Amino acid sequence: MAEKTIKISRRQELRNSRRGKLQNQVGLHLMMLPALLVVLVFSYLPMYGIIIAFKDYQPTGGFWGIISSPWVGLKHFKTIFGGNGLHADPFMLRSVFNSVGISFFRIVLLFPLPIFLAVMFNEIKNTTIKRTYQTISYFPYFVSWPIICSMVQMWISPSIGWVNAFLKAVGIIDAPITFLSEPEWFWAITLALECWKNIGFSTIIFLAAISGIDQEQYEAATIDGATRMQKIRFITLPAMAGVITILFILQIPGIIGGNFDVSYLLGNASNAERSMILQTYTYIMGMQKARFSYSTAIGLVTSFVSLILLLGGNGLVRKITKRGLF
Amino acid sequence: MAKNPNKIKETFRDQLFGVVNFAILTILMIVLVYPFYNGVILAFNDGVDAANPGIYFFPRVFTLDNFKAAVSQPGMIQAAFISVARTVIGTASSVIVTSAFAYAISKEYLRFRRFYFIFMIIPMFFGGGMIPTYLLIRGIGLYNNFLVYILPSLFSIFNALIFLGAFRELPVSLEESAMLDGAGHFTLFFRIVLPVSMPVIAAICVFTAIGHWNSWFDTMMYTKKEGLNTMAHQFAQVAQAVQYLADKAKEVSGEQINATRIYVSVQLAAMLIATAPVMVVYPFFQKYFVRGVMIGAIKG
Repeated sequence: MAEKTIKISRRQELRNSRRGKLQNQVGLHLMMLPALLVVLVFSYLPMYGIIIAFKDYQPTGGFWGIISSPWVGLKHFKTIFGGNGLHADPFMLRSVFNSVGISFFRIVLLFPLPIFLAVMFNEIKNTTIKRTYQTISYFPYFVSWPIICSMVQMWISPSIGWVNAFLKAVGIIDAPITFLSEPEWFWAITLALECWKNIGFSTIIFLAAISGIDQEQYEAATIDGATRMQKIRFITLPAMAGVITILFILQIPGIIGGNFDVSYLLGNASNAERSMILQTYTYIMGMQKARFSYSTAIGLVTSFVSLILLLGGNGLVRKITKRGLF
Repeated sequence: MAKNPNKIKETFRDQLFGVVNFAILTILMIVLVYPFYNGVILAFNDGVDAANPGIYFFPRVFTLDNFKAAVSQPGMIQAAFISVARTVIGTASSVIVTSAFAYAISKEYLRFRRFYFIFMIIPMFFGGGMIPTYLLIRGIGLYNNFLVYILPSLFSIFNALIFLGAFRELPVSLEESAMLDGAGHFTLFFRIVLPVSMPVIAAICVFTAIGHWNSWFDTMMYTKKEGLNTMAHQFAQVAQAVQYLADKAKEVSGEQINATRIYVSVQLAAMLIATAPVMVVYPFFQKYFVRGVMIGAIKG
């Protein structure tokens, strides 16, 4: 009985304090005002600019040109997709092909690697070595793309790079390979660089999942005579399944993306056949060719498709884990 | 461990597993670090001498000339200044704006809370795109303006979600007792919430700072003035210049190759200078950003 009155008075207290807080809303709103303004100006205002995808905007038009330029309906989208006897934009097809191709191999080849690496880290018993190795593996993540791209060009250059010198010395090749002039090498270069940069850092999330495993499970397994391989197979990996599923699905919307930094910095006229992705094509059309309306149309198509992929991916997560990401 | 008499002795197979595992990881670590290490020794080596192969572990002809040349490159000091300025100002202001928002939205009783939340989340999924953003930046006068490095990145929804996760863990009694003492939200936030959330703030600071330090696309898109160049963008230009020089060099004689080599060594030295702060900083904050990534991932 006494407990009940205490509960009631506690509830009353809460309600009173809540009323006090309602009067204090001004302070809270002031605190979020800067963030709201930033998002309004830099995220929402540009959305209005999307209408130039349906207009013929002149680059000299300035901001007001967005409103005054003439409507042309779906003209730019027809140029992209073709139809009415017109062919689809061949560069657009090429960009989609490269974006999807690079992303596909990224998921198939690169996604599993951090999982293995995390398990291997976890198998090091000496904590100091484990820590040191983890720190080392994070390092490339913090080196910027322009620096990585500059360095890789020095390494694989036919005249001054050590890669060609090494391959020649070992006898694998007779003449130096001009890696960046030959399109067929480009995907491999992108993926190798991404792997190098991200593999260590991507293990963080998997190591977090591993650290949540109850150590008693391992002890029990040891007493039962399980080998380390069996413990990985039956304890560690199953415990990571949830995280792996979610992260895998999160890769889906990225399939239409690529890696702007690498494609732009290492792309050139000779390897454009394999290096041009949707983001670089949007940039080239807009900023280099000054076809603002057309570039916006490409961007709109891209973000529309990735939005659908994202919603689809979330639906999939919800179906599997009974709990969506958003 | 070995002192525990009840400990089950590892079988030979398991010991072998441990050794093989360690060996593979060691090789992998070398592969991850060596390419960069190679750049380091070349930066300390004489540029012309570097054209001859055989430099693997230590500089052959040690020199600091490359670093001297790197620092005296036109625009290098100015670019370094801009990089430092945008990193310091950008990080401090972004962390304050983002965490203040997260604090406000972490209060269940905030009016229109759900609306604000959705309002901030939508841009995560859909945006104006490259050209409309460019037109806006020009339209509001941020083109060729230092503020273009600061204002657009004042708020990050990803960081806000990480802050939100951390603020939610704080005990409600902390707020109630401070309120009883007559503290307003501002006092509460700056005097109590921020100080007790130092780990997550440190993590976000490191990520935001490195993001600013390495960012080059905004420089390319929104500035034309030499005075606003950043180091990261300078290297993006180097990346394109090297390609040109390296391709050229194969057609011409040794002299040209030497010139390319010297240029390359100088650029390597400059990149080392630019990467050094990051290399020094990140290991110390490791435990913080590991936590940050975990919170961010778990809270989705």
